[in-house]
Amino acid sequence: MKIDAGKLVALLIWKAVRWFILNMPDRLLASVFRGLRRLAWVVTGDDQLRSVITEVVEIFEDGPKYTDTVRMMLREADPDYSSDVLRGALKI
Amino acid sequence: MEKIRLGVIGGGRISDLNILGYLSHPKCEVLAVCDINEDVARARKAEWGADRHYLDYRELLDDKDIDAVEILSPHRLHHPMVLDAAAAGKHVSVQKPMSIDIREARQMIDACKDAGVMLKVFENFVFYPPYCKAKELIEQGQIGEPLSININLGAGVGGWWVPLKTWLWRVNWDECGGGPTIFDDGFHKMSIARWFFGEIETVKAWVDFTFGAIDSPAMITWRHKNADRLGVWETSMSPNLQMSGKYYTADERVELVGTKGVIWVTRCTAKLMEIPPLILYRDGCSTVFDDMRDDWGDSFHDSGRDFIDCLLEGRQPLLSGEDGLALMQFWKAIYNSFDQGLEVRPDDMTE
Repeated sequence: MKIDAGKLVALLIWKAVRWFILNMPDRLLASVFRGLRRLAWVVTGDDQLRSVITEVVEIFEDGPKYTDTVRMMLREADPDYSSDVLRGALKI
Repeated sequence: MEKIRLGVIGGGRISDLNILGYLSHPKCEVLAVCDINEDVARARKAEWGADRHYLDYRELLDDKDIDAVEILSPHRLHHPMVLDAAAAGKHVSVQKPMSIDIREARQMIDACKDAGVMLKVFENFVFYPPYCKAKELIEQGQIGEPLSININLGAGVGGWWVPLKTWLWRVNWDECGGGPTIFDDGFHKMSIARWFFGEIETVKAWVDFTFGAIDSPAMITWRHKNADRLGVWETSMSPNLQMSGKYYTADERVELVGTKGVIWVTRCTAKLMEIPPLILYRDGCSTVFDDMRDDWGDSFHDSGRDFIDCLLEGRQPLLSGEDGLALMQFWKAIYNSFDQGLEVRPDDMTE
């Protein structure tokens, strides 16, 4: 059986991210993303990446006004399609 | 009026483009900027050479030096802001879509009429130079009697960065007034369908949803009041389709079919392929039009200048409030058609 490694990785990342966001509270997720932002900056020094993660942090800090929509979309998302989107974003 | 002093309410992403025509018009002065984010308000003031900034749009409307306002806020704020602007005696240009429902649209039209101020619905597609040329060719009879318009909208990846919070309110139907594809972006497509071939008689639509909130893929069909003319609009999403473009990665291809010819407009917002923006086929020959401005930003520039020209010349803007209302009815007909599985007439839409 031929395994598409990129698709598998993307699907696993997708499932993990989805589980976390659907099951963890906004404040904890904001903290996690703040930590990820710091790590990403140390590892890559990429300003643009830091800006994007900052936007994600702000969404979780602002709470249900935005996160209700995020969770609704994650619940409705088709796993195959979503992992394709992620795969394209990660270029894997 | 010899010069129009303009106040801009909303300094978000799209203001980068809406401002272009105002900055270039010799009889327009961008006097004031308003944004709830002070950093944004100050940055736009500096960038546009404006004299003053506000954090509350009502303070901008109280400014006696301002003649007209450009409203670039989220859709649910269009109605209260237009009503307040009219009450303050300011001419108004409000970004498409006009409102979140038909009732609001009617109230906005009435308020501006009662106050004696102009209302423009800022729609840039009808100022996109290749579309304008296509309309000119149709009016010259180059394709004979028009028969159908086929609009293809594909979404890909690439383009400019839009803040994530902006995307989130645009997929929230309560905030946006409808879906991001067929209502928000679709206002453009509905505008050109009506502008090219006239009022819409009846609509039949099928819509599927991606991520539960994005109204695409979809297939929308309609008949124009001129019963010989039909329309089709297909939307799709391609998550790994790389697209060249400075703005949103929307692949728009429009085909206009007539009794003796066909016109293709091959792009608008983004540029999928390096081919001419406009091609005419008739009498066995293709004519290519490649010598015109074809950047999406040009359409914003020309629409903004049109608002100023209309104010100076005392004529109706494109789009007028009534045009905006007709498009809200078109959208509602599409929504009711896919929601109920029926053929629906826009004229029957009242809410």
